[in-house]
Amino acid sequence: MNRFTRLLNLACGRPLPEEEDGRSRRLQLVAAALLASLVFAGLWGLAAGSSSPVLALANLYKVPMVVLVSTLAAIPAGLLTWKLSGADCRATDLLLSFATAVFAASLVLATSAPLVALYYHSSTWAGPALALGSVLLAVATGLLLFGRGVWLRLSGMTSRLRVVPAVLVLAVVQLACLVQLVALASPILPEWTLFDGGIDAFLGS
Amino acid sequence: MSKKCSTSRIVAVFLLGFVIGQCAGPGCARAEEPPAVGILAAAHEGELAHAGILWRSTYQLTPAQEVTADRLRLVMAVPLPPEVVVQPGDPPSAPVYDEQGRIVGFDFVPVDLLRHYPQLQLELEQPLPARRGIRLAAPMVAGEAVQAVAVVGSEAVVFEPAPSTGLLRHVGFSSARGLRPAERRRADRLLGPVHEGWGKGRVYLRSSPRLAEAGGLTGDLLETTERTRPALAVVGIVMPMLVLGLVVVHRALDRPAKVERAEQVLAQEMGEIKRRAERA
Repeated sequence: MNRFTRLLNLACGRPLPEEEDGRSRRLQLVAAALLASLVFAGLWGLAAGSSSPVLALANLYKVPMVVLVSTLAAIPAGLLTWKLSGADCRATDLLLSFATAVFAASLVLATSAPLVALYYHSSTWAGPALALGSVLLAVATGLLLFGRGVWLRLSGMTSRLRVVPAVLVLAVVQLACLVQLVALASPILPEWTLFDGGIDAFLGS
Repeated sequence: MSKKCSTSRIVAVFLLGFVIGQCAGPGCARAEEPPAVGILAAAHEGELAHAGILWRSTYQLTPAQEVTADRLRLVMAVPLPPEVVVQPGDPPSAPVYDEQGRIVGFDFVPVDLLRHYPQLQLELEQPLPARRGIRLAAPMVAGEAVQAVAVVGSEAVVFEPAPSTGLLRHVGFSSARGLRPAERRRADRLLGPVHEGWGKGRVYLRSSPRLAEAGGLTGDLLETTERTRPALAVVGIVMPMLVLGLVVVHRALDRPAKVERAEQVLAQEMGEIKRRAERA
């Protein structure tokens, strides 16, 4: 619970207490944030596929997989950009902001899960709309919190702008991976959506 | 009757160019066979239906010149299997069969060709009992014409040519080795918008001994899910390892994190003691 509160505080932009701001602790929080994200993403997957037991069970594995693999796939590119851009911040600060943003985004998914499940069982059109809407809301929340988190963690530094390329690369690579992983893991929702076709469907539309 | 004869003569003057240039196929092997229709480019659109593929082919004819024959033959690069059903079309065509009942060409009356100049359409249906290891019965012509082939009708299905076809994969299409981009673009220009809306699986090729040997364009019709299954399997296998890795990292960092925290607290305490001592 203490760790959960700590991650929430980080997502809100509050700094780590001085005694907890060591490298190992930050990395540990990154791992904890990603592991917690898996649970939240799984909850949303369960709700989104709740109209079919098979789909719900499959989503319990597929949605966390999409979240985790896309996040981890973005990290090497982000760290390379961080190094090449000569940003003053620590790599673990960047990673912690990224991981807490993913944590917060998946928390948005988890909190919308009951609503998504309810609407999937009681409406023919509102369920899918709400499921897609919650995903877009989660992505927007994640992007916003990531930007804010990095900005606040670097508040004392003079060259904060140098970290912007790394932030952009992390966000873009994760979203690019997310789109294709959703297509690979398709179906996640019972309905066919534009996301099921991946980049081909986006460009073909 | 005499009016009809004079029309035929005009046609004969116009259509000589349809003749030569295509004498590589079986149609020109014997002297008594009609001359081949000259083709510059062709597009074969195979629409996937429940029981098979409906082929709609468009051929761009060579410029009209003089012709004396009463029939012209569209010579196939590869004989079409006997189970193929030719749809009645305009201009009317007469399929030409070999001893095994395969279609080796289509005969046309020059007047009809002139009526549809500069393009010629042909429709036929190919039954499709399976989707793996299939041989597309697109009516590809013999000769040097660049031809585009695609299976359309379902966003989720893509034709994957077999490796034995030797086709080169490009972004969004495949093409025969040695086929220059300029030739491909020229064929697209000549054919106009006939293949607009084709998916990413189109194939550009021309008649070749290799194609004839293989008996046509071979490959698989794959669903999107079938194509992505190997990638999904890899990601699915990697996922538990990643989760395990995260758990291991989290556990392994527990002790160093505690040590860091203790050092930090100690440093704070020492700082506080020093400050108190200085004040005292």
